[in-house]
Amino acid sequence: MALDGFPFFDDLLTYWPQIVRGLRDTILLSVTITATGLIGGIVVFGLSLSTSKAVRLVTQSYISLLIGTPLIVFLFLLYYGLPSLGVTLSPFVIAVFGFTLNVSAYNARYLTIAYKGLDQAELESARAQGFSRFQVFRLITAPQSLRMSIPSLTNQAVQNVKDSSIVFLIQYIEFFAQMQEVASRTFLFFKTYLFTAFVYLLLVSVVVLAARRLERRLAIPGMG
Amino acid sequence: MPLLEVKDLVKTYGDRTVLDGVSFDLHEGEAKVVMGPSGCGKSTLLRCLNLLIEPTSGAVLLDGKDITRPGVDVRAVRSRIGFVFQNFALYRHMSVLDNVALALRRLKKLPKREAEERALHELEFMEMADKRDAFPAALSGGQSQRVAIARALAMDPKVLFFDEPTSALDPIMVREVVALINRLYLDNVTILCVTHDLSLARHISDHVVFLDRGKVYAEDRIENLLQRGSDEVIDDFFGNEG
Repeated sequence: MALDGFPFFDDLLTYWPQIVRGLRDTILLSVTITATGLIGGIVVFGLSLSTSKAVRLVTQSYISLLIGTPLIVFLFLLYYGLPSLGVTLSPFVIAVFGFTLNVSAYNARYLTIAYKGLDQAELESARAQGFSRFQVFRLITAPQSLRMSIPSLTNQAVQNVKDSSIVFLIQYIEFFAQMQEVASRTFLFFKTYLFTAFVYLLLVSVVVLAARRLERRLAIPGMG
Repeated sequence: MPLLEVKDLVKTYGDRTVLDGVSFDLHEGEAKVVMGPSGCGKSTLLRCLNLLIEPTSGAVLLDGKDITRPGVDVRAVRSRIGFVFQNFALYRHMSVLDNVALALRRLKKLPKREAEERALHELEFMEMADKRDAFPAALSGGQSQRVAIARALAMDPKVLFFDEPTSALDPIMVREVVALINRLYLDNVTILCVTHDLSLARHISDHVVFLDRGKVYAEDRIENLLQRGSDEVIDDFFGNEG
C-alpha cells in the first residue's frame, strides 16, 4: 500500500503494521519530549535569572551537569537505578523524564545565549513602567529570547527525533527498535536500515519545515 | 508644596560616591533640566528617583509622600512616573499600539479595547496613530521618541522623566523633540530632563540643576549660569557643550 511507490522496499510491506506502530511511538516520544523540554527549558532559563544567588548557582550546576553527561547514563540511572529504590516506572515515562531533564538543560542554555543579545534597556524600561520581575520575564524576556532561539530550538527538536532511537536500550519499543526486529527477521539489513534512514530524514524534514514556517511567522522585524 | 522633593540623596557603590547629598524641588507644571559633565551622576539620579536604583540615603517625596521609606509599593510609585529612555527602549517584538497599550492592560488592568483606545488617543496626540501597526525597527529615531513619550503619557504620570532625549537623534530630529517637549510643557506636563545638550536645555527649561561629581554645584536659570564668567566648572562645561 503506502510503500507501493517504492518497489525497492516491497519486501518490508509485510511488516507494515509493526513499522507504523514504531513510527507512532517515535513521534509520540519526540513530540512529548520536545514539548516538555521546551517548557522545562523556559523554567530553568527563568530560574537562571533569579535574584537569588543560591537559585542561580543550583540552576547553573544543573545545566552544566546535564550538558556534561551522556543522556544514556541518565536513562540507565532512572531505568536500572530507580527500581532499587522501590520506584518502578514504564520505559515511556522514564524516557520522557530522562529526555526532559537533558533537553531542558540544552534549551535553557540556548535561551540564555539569546537573552544576552537582548537590549537590556527594554527590560529596564519595563521595570520603570512598574512591571514586576515576573511580568518582565513573561512579557518581554521570554518572548524575545524564544523567538531569537528558534533556530537553536529547532536543532534541538531535530536532535530529539534522532536521539529518541536510543530508548530501545531501556526497552521502549519505538521505530528504530521495530526496524531492528524487522531486519533480524528478514535478514534484509541493508534495505531495512536504508528505509529507516529515509523515514528519520522525512521526520526531521517535517520538523525543519515546520520550524522555518514558525520562524517566519514569529520573526521580529529588525531582530535576529 | 513641590510635586517632587529630593532631599540629601546619596548613592554609593562601595567606596565610590555617585550622588553626594543631592537636593532640589520640582513643582507641578514645571520643566527642570539636570545638566553636568559625563559621569556626574545624572542618569543615576533619575534612576534613584523612580527607585530603579535604591538610594543609599536621603529621601524622595512625590506628592508629599516619602517614596524611599521601607515598605513602599515600588511598582505603584514607578507607574506614577513616566520614563523616556535614552534609546527609547521600545519593546521590539510588539507593534507601536501594543507598546503603548501593554502597561494599560497589564498594570492598570483595562480591558483590551479600552486600553487600545486610550493608547491610540496618546498616539494621536503624538501624531503617530498612522504607525499603530508598525514595529519599532521600522521607525525613525524621532518617531520612536514619540512612541516612547506616548507610552509614558498613557499611564497618566505625575511627572515625566527624560534621560538624554536627544543623544540618539540627528539635528533635525532634535528640533522635533524640542518642539515636542515644549508642547508637553505647555500642556502642563511636569518634566524632569537629564541632558548635556545646551540647546535642548535652553529651549525647554526654566531652571537648570547643575551636577558636578555627584553634588548640586549650582541651580539657577540657564541665562544666569551662562553669565557666571568666573566659574571654571560651569565655563568648562558650557564652553565645551555650547
